[in-house]
Amino acid sequence: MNKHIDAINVDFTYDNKKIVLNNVSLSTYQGESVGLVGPNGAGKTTLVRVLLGILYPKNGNIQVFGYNPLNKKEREKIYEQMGYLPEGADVYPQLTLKQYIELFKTLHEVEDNSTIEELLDMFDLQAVFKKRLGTFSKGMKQKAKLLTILIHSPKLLIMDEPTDGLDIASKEETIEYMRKLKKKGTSMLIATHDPYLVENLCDRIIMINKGEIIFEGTTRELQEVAQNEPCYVIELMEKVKKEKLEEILNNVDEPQKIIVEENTIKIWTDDENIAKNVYKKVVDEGLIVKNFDRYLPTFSQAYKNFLEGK
Amino acid sequence: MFKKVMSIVKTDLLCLKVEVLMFFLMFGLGFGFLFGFNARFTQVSELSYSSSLQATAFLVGGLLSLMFPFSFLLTDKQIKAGEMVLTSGIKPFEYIFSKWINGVFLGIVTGYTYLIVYTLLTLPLYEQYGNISVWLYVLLIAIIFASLGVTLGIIFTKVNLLRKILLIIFLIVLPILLFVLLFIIKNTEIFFKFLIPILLVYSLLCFFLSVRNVEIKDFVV
Repeated sequence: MNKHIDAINVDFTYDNKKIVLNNVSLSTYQGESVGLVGPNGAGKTTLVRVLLGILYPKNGNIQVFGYNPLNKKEREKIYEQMGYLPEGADVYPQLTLKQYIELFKTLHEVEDNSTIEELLDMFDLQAVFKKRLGTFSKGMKQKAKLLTILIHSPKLLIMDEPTDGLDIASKEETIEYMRKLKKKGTSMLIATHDPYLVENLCDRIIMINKGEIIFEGTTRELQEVAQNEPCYVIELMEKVKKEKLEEILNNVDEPQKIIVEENTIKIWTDDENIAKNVYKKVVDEGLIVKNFDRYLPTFSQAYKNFLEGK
Repeated sequence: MFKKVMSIVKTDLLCLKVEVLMFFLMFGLGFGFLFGFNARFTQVSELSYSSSLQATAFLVGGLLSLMFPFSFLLTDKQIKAGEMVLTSGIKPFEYIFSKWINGVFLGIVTGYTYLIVYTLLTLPLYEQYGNISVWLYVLLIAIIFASLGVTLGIIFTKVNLLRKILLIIFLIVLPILLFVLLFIIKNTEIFFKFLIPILLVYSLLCFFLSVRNVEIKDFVV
């Protein structure tokens, strides 16, 4: 797979005093979406700007599509192939959506209108095409901005809080469209606080805190790492009386680590065999199991646990 | 490049609030006539009367040329639109150049509008309409002030407060010296003969020096 972004040992400081990025290395590949997560002030936006060549790092090597974004001429070649959505960027309120799209259409040298039509339909913006952006809600403005970074079908999308202000339906549609782009080979780097977006779109996450990468992996891996004590959960198809379940599980090793609820059994153990034993007993008793898996916290909980643990 | 620059020019013009433009037009016209009437009733020479009207056209045109590039640059930075535009395939120089074109354009339109109105309505100016230098001055003044407006815009977006103050002082030193010179030599003919060319060179120098090392980060909050 082609590497789209390749950053190695990047350091960045403001005025040589405050260290904002410390030895950050990351890569994104063709067709991959990477979530850049972390608390406020962690250095996500700075990292994005450094990768784009807007800010100059103190040390490190950055390549985007094999070009150096710090070189003015090479940077132009990068910008031709990417779409960038800065965080909190506003639209020109006096322009109509049509005029706003025309501006970016010219800047991106787009001739064909088919992508624009498709995006207008997807974002449900056809009806307000000739309305002034100043009259738009926050979510609609966000859709307009997203539309302008997608009109030239970029190979790389770098977005800072892309779902800011979007309702659930719009989020889902946006994510669905992004998935289609991924299939076509577009890679994405998404700085976000939105767990829904991360869980539903990102193949991999990079967690950054105080300018350093503290975790890199899939959301599942983060959930596993963040669950300090391993736990397995057996989910039953139907509700069973608690007493009956307790009776079934009487002869299991280390029963104190088993918590029984109406239709779930949680087994707190790092030995998978114990969990499998419990599962077997339950099945032998004729109960129908809906799901048997490791119990994992939600992404948000895992994120919180992981940060607190650091 | 031309298409991209013109698309930014068009966007900025569309963003201009009509009422602001109207205010300047009305203010300028009103000011010009009041000034002119004052000159009429105090029985000044025809030359002074027409000069006062011309000066109004030059000043209001110049003021617009100065203000708009400056405010366009600052507003774009404030609303982070500059960051989005500059990562969409337009070079920083082209972006700034578009603001400069806008300043010149607005200055010319306003200046010529005033001149045409005054020329049509006042006999002393009507007698001068064939004088090419009057029309040329509007163009040159628009270029001068648009260049200074862009320079000011870049200064405000780029550097820290202390350097801002120093640069602004530097920027207004020459114009102030020229006005002081006006009072000393008391020969307005010679003064105006040299004022425009000196200011033109000065402003273009400021413009090129300020855009020389401009970076996208200068337009990022």
